[in-house]
Amino acid sequence: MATPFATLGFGNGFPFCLVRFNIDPNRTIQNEPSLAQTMESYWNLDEITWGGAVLNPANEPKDLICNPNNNLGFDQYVITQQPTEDEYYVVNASRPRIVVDGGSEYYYHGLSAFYFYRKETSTTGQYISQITFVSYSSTQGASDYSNDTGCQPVYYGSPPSPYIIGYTRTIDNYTFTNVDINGIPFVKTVRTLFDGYNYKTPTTPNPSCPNPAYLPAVGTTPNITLHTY
Amino acid sequence: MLPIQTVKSPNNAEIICVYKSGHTSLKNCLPFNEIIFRTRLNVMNEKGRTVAFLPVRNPIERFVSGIYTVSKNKKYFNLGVNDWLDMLENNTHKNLHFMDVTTVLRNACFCFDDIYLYKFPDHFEQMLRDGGYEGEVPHENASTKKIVLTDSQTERVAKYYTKDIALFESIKAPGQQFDFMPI
Repeated sequence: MATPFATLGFGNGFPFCLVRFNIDPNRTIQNEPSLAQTMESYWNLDEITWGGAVLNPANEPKDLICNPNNNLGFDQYVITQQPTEDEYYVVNASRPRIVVDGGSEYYYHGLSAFYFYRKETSTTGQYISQITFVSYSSTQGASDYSNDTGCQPVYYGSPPSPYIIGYTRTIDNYTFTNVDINGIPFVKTVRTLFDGYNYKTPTTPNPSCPNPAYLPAVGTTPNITLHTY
Repeated sequence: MLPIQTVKSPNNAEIICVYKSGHTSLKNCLPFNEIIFRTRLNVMNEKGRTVAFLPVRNPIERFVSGIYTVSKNKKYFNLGVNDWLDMLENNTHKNLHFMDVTTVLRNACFCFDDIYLYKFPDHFEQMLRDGGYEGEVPHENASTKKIVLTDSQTERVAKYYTKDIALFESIKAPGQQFDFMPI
């Protein structure tokens, strides 16, 4: 149980003025928090955890009156960090802000979390890079979309007689869904990326277009604990 | 390889976020960019020259600041300076607060054509001005409690960050272009 307190703030419910930013390119407002939810996420954060990453600021809400950055920070939990493979979780608490979209303003709470998994595979005649990135953040989303280069031949030599030595294909998929965690609204973004290159070698004389395959997305959800009074 | 997070300056230079080197201040005055993943896509798709600014802090001061920050998290309450040094030296714990900036630079070389170096905090304002930022320069998250290292701890930190120290000391003027360093 936290110690109850009262404070006047800067007329906006926070011990500082909220910075305004324009919405990111290619994003729309999605699942934005109310002022009350934004205040809740700032003042009453007790702990945010995900997959071994733990941020548990060692202070009570009342301590933020004079030390407004005391709850800010992040933690990272690394499962693997190798030249060809990385996998880790991050939880983060930043200052809330305001997102400006056209003439309208929307709250943006500072809590976020992400999971990152990257793997590179190289075999005779084939190189594949795969990334899965799952993030939970505030206010900005989009309709699901995918960028696919299609099968691209790689040439050796100059016109008029270049010849094909391989094929590449890159696909970058995005999905956006609304998620509420302990009453705090988030946009969950899942980004899966495939980057493949099949190339000619003595044992692979006729390379084909790379077949896309993706790393799995993590199935768990961050956990947020809020102070109660 | 770790992904690189940047903020976008008004004139489109990307300022690389380095923890304990103005990271919070940058986030409070410039918008985030989408996190950059390095695959061949980044290297092969030419979209004009890309420019990045990299703040580099005195590694000893950065380490002390990192210790102060992680000590605010209950998860690390039972860890002292020597514990952190042991974990870093033995590579048994990864934490971005202590990640050497030469690794960030090495990764950035795969993502940007031109990289310019700035000392933090001395060149921080100049870095923002070079990026076209005209607003007030914030100074967020500055620690008020200072941890004093012993001589042996300072020596260990200096040894761990040997390359970072060389990089920091190589910066003679704000915005010095990074050309080559055996990192």
